[in-house]
Amino acid sequence: MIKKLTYLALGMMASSLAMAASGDELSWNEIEQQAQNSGSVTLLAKLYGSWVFDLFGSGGAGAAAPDVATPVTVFAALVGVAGWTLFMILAGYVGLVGLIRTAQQGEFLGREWDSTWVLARLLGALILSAPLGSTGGSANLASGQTLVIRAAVVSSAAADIIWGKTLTAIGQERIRTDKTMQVDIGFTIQQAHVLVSKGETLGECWGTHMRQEKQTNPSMTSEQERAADARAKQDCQMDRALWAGERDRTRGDVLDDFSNGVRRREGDMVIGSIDTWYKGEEIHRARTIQSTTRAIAETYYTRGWAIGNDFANDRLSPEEVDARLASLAQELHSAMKTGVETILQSSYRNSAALYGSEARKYGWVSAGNYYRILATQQTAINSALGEAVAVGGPGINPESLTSGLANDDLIYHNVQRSITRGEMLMERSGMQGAADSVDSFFGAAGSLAGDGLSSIGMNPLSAGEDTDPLVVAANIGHSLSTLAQWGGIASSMPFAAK
Amino acid sequence: MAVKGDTIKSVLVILLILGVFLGDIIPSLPWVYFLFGTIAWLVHVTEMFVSAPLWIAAHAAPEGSNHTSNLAAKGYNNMLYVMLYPVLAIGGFIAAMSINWVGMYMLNQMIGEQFSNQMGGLLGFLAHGIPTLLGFTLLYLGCAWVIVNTSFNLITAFPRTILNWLSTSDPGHNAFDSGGHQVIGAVGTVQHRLGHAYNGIKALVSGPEKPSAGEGEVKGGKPKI
Repeated sequence: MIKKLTYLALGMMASSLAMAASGDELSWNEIEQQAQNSGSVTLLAKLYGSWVFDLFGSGGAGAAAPDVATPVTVFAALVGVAGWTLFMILAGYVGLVGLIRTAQQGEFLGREWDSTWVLARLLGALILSAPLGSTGGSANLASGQTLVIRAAVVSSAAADIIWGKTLTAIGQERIRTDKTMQVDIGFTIQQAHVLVSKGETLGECWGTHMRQEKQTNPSMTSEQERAADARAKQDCQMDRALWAGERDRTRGDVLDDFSNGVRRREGDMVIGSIDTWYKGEEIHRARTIQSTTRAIAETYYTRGWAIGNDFANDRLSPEEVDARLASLAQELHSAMKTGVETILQSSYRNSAALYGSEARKYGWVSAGNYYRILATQQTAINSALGEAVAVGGPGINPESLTSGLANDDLIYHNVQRSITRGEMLMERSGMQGAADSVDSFFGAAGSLAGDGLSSIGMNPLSAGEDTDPLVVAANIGHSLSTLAQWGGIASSMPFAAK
Repeated sequence: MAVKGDTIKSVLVILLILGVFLGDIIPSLPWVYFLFGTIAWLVHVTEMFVSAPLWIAAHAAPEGSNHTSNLAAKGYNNMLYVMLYPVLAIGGFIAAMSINWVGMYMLNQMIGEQFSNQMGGLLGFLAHGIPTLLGFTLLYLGCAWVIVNTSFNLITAFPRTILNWLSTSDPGHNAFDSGGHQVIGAVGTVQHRLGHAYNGIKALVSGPEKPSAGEGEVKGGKPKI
């Protein structure tokens, strides 16, 4: 009975499940917005007119009119006339035969036909096959035809959204598990120790001053206590930027101006040399990274200060102070690394989201192309980030990683890097001097030799478990082509021909 | 010397063809399948769009059950296909990506190990050299071809499989549904013909072969004048 309708409902349920599986609910509003800005719906618009962008058009189903006239729709409108004719014939047949059967059998439309459903179908067919009034275009579509296209648009927009969300999820998962996201902080344990020791020294100084003040005047009022605190800070030469008034951990005053390189102000010394390369114009994430590292440094500086204060008040022995400072320095060192990793990974997650939304914009029809990007993404991250995301280390060149990027779109950049590398390889295979040819030839030979040549470090099959295997295959193929091209060049040289 | 030169050139041509297949054609198969799957879907949408008035009118035929007449019943398969293909194609693509990853990963691991055993280090490579390299590369190409091709065939096959569970008959094929396979067949044919063309050019350059290799005959790939 209602088998087909059940199947339709099942189909819609499958779509809904797929949408739910992609991690987010999918609303009609979202689908409508997607339909207005989608590469896949643009394809439908090429065939059926731009009205398809207006999914739930203000004019209802009839909103198809103004720019509905494409070759396909004009032809379809003519078929619509045939459909209307067919409907009239069938309706006439039902009317005539139904009348006769009613008369013969004494039952409405006779016993063979289901009178309710036949009438319902007649009514439905009448509504859906009747031509809509066209307001401008020459095509005069039936409402059933516009319904077919709307169904395709809804399906297409839903697939776009699912594809975008899937890519975002894949990207973020890869980032989460990517081993190359380990950040190498150029901040040594010795630096960490100096930082917490400085805090401890100042804490000890301040604590001693305050202790003396309290011994001199045991019944200090709160105002006297504030004055004593200020005197102690001044005597101990504590950093005003860090200690004066409310502690502003974002340190807006320090981060104000990077146009002429890093401007050292009071408080900068707190984190030693770690910020020497943080130039705003060099790395767009510098401010975020700097505020993160600064906040961490200040936290541990304060903890070192507390140790000094405890020592000044005889709550800790010298041995305990040494042990605690060593442990604190260790903790600071790893906290700095974790803090930067977290902030970077957060940026990469944003990049993955941007990547997904970009894929969504071009639509599900572009999924085949995006696979190439997706497959190369991991390889690009492996090669680019492994060396570049190192904070403060020697020989770091952060601007090469992020310059010219409008947003946190590191993944695009990495993909671009991989594409550029591919182009470079092609350029190299297109002859660029003897030195390059030797490099390319032996590089390619190494790529071919598998584990047998792993002793000389040339084995693409062991490129890493994170690398997409299809990319590995493609790399082998490119190495073979390069080898063949250079072999061809070499064998055609005069000395080789003899 | 001529034989040696020709052998090297033949090996290089084989390497070039293998390289192009592995480096360019195989990684492009996913979008080839997606391209033709999308075009096939657009054809289905157009068919449905054009035939919708007739299909809807067919519902007015009195014979049938409930919401559909006998005349209109088959149209629902196509309607399901039009409505669900995009979402299911993405599902098939994601499944294909995963299956391909596993398959290719296994292939890389296994063939790498096999190759390593055969070669036994740099000396082994120098000893066994080109024939083993060619053999393994050919085997690798064959396996990769089948894995990638079969995996990404899911882009078009997956929606049909799912829809066949839901509907009583196949939504019907159009020419573009098999477009991916046609392209792959055409690539194979081109490769075959390129091989013939290469042999032809080689014969042209080298001149006709002589029955015996005596004095005054073919030397250095060119007839002595």
